Amino acid sequence: MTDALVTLPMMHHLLWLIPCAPLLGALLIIALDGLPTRAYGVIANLAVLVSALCVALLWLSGSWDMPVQTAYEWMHIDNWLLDVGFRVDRFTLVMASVSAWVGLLIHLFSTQYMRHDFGERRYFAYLNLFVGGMLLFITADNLILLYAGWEIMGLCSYALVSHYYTKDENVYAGRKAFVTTRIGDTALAIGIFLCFMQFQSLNLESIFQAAPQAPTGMIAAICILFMLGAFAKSAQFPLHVWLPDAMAGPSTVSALIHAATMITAGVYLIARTHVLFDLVPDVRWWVALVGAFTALYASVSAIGQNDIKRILAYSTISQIGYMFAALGVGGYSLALFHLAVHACFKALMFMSSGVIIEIYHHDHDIRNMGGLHKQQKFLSFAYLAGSLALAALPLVTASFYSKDAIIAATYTADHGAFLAGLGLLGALLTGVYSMRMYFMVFTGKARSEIHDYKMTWAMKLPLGILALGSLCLGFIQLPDSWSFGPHLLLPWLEPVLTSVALPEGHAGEMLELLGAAAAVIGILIAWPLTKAEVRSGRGVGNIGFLNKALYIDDLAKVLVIRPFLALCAVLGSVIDGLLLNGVLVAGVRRLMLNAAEVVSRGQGALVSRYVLLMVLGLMLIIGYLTVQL
Amino acid sequence: MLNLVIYFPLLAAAAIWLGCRERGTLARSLTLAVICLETLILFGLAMGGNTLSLDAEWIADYGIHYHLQLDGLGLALSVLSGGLAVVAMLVGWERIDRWQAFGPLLLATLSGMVGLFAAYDLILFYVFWELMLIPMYFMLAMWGDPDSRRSATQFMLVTVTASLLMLVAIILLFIAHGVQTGIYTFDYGILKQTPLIGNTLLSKLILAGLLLGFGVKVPVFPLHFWAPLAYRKGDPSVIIMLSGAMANAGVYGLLRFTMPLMPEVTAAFAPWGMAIGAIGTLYGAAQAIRQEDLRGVIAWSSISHMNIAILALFAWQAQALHGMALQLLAHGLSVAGLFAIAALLLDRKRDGVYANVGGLYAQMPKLGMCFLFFVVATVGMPGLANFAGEALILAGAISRSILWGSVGAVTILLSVIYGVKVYGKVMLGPVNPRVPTELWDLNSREKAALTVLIIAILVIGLMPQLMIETVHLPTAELLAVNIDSLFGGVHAID
Amino acid sequence: MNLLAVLFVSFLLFAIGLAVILVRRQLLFVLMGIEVMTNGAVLAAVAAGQYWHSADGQVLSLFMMLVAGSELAITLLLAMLSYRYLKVSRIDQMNQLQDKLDKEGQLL
Repeated sequence: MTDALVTLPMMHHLLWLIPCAPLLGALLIIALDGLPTRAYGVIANLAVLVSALCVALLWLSGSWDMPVQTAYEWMHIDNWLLDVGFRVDRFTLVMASVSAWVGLLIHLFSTQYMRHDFGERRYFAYLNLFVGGMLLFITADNLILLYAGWEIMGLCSYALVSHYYTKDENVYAGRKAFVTTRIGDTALAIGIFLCFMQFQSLNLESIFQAAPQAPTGMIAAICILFMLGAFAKSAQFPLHVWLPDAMAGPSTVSALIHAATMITAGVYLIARTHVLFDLVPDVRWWVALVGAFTALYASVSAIGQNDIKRILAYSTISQIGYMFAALGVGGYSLALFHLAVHACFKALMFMSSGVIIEIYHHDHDIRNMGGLHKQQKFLSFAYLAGSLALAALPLVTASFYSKDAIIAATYTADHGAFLAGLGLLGALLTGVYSMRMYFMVFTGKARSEIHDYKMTWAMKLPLGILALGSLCLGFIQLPDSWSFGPHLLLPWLEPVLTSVALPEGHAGEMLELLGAAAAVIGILIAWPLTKAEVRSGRGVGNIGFLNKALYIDDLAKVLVIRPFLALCAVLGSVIDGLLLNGVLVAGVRRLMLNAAEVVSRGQGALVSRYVLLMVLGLMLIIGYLTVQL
Repeated sequence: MLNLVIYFPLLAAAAIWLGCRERGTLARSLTLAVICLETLILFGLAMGGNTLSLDAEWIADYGIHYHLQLDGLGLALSVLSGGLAVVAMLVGWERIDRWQAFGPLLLATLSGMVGLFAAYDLILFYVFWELMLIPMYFMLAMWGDPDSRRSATQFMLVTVTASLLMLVAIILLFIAHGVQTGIYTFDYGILKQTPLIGNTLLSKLILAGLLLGFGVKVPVFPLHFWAPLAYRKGDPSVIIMLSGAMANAGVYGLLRFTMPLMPEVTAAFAPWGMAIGAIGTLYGAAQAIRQEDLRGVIAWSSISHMNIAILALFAWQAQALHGMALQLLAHGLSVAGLFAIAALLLDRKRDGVYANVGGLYAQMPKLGMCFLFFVVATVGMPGLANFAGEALILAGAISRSILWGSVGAVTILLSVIYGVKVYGKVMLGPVNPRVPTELWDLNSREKAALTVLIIAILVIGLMPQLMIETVHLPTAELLAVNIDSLFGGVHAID
Repeated sequence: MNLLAVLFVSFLLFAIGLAVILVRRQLLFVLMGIEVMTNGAVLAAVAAGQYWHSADGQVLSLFMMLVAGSELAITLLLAMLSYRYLKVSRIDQMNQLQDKLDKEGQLL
């Protein structure tokens, strides 16, 4: 692998194309008016194809050891030497491949899925911008450019989630996504500025080199801020509230957000800055705890959902939780491995769910589905591959290799048994909700009318590729403890992205077995559960506590949003209403009026009174002069 | 040349006023031509990159000079004023009546602004300051909502009071400087060579006078009370000039006349100044969230963004000051864009109150996209102008004071709350049944106005280095006032 | 001739004139009051001139009579005009120039 198959010395001059091709694509789609709608889809696809090909060329030319390209000076003021610069290392390359290629497949799928839909041109413009933002974020060589990509994704998530803008709840969902993730953006921005203050540099490399000499307190502050940023973007507890609502957008958008772009950005951020996190293991441990807890929490919530897309949303939150758990214990490359696997099966499932929803005439409720297997064989098998991968069925699916390694890795940390326990419980529940979803949709009798839907190659090809990836991607990296088979990914990433030694011997074997067993038991529980639910018409989805995801969202409304709005209102009425306009403006006004009234009373318009005053005044003056003299 | 760029609009104003008594359309065309020409000349000068200057005796007995000096910063702000005047005209083309009166007033204001940015003598500065303000009162009072006269009167009273305080402060400064050095002069060039020493009561009074005088114009929290009403009631075209261009004059005055002329007392005040800037930023944003109409949101967002500039000003640090210059330009452009949208909606008989709008995107997608662009610029999207300003300001402010810099940074969050809210309420959602169905999307005149702004925002955002180089010399000169030693212990820790 | 007696008479004339101005509201009486006051002053001037054997007092009194006469001509004219156009002859009704404000500060 390390030998270059193609020698392309110019490759590092083309780095800018990776993020800029989709960005330019978006610009073209906005600027070119009056083309046939179909053309916009073609432009969008071509733009992402260019990026994907550039990434492929990087692989083929073997130029992954830090080619750097500086496009131009962005802002140079004293020490603030900010360039538009890109760089690629092994880690970046894997991440860029996931984003570009999965992004491309989603684009391809969209050409049929969004055909004759609503606002196609707008959709493709934002879709391109989204991928461009992610690739910019991945390939940036400094923190500000990274932040730029990060923000572009926030904007696109807003625009795409509220794509069907004629409904108020969709608009609200988009706003919620943007605002909630912006909490994290604020933290990230402050962290970046602290970084600049500490290191007097924004370049990632120079920050990493200077980091060991920096005071620990400062590093911890920066890491906590980065962590908050990552939690908001990657929808970790309790900032996950925006993600389930973000299902208001088209399903392909969900696929893009969850698999290729935004949600994984938080994971990437922490892995990218792992040099800093390694210096403060205490802070890092909290990442693991929040991750592991979120993995369990989201699995519990997913069980109670009836909306097919909300199940998938919670499953994403849960899977990302595993990645954070891996990051928190130092298993950075494990997180990346799971990220890639997750991208495959999650993109697959979201795109399929879009088709499923179309087939059931825009009804999202899985209780009204069923019996689809007979009608849509290809879709059923693809979705089964995805579901099994989500459930991490041992040996045959990819996430068995990635997820179980994470659970094993958490065991090595402080309080590792606790973390691993959370992970294992989550894995069990994942099997349950994943297969419940599959059984409810595809097996049994149809519980509502099934519409005819013909998938063309533009849909089948992406789904096929992703299904294959969901099953086989794991085989590039078998568990370390297995002496046979390929171990390609982790050792290759070692120079830039480390991992932890997994527990060996008895504990290691136990964990492997437990992980496999949890998945299998979960899957086995799902079948009778579904049967019972279909028969009785009532099931886990009717438990309000689970269905409302432990009421976290409602709690946030009561505890955060309302007090915040009330605070704004109180501040406004006190400062502007009372103090400034009440006391100051009205006070000055009243003062002037009263003074005018007093003065005008002296002017009684009576000549005799004036004369009297004059005489009195004269007398006073004369009297004063007399006394003086 | 310098006299030409300053007095050309004023003379043209007089000519149009006398020559076009009854001919509004002719006055309109002439005004546009004059402003375009003026802006082009200024732009050419800015591209030339030279500092223009001119010095002559004026009233020698009182040390008043006719001293003009237009450097990169002043030129950039002048070009912005000219450009915004063009935009203001284009979006008010049909809505504004009596152009034979409006045109000359607009030109006179523009003349005052250019003169103000060039004035290098305190009394001269004051003269141009008033020249800028007085026409604005008439524009505010005679155009705009039917009940705009009251807010215009309030604007006038507040700003005139503030100007008087400023004048008193200037005279006190003249005396204090004379007492200290024996040279009685209003000439800025001479004054800044021997800044006032010491943190005395007199210098505190002078600083307070200048802060009040300039702060009202910015408007600095808590002197902003006149602004929301005036911004909401005035005609959007006028408000483009008021909020986008004239507010800059306040910051510019503070920048020129506080720290360089009396570094010690200003440095002692600086932490408070940063606090005011940071709190004002958040307060403005929090109030913007509460508003129920488009123009109210824009007004408060403008207040919020101008207070970030104050945060930068008192941080007095390389990144922050460059960022401030960028922020002034970026804020001017983006707030002008938003008020232009408000103006276009007003042309379509939509006043922007949430109850009367909603779902407009379906009828006007192009206008909607432009609206979203300006909203996104306002919330500080990287790659657009405001981000360059805000990022530099916040980085500089945090370097100076972690606390106030971080507090100011929360605006990143708050701005997006009001930004997407106002966009959603006006453009998205179900179509409001009160909205008539025959609204037209952008016509070519409107497109031209918005395109100017969009391109400017993009260029400054993607290549801020161009602007940084333009303003670098004057800023570096200002920064030569070394205040690190003056900041003392508190800031040294950071 | 006793200067003091003359000055006393002149002061008396002045005081009576002033009292008339202060007390009466008829415009004509006020004008008469002014004339009486002027005459008091003229008397004092003449007496003083006599006392110091100087012509100044007589010159001054001539001037004052001239002024009083022309003043009377103009004020009588104004009184007549005010009666014709405003239909008032009392000074307490001549308050058209007074500013009256309502609660809101607006002119009535």
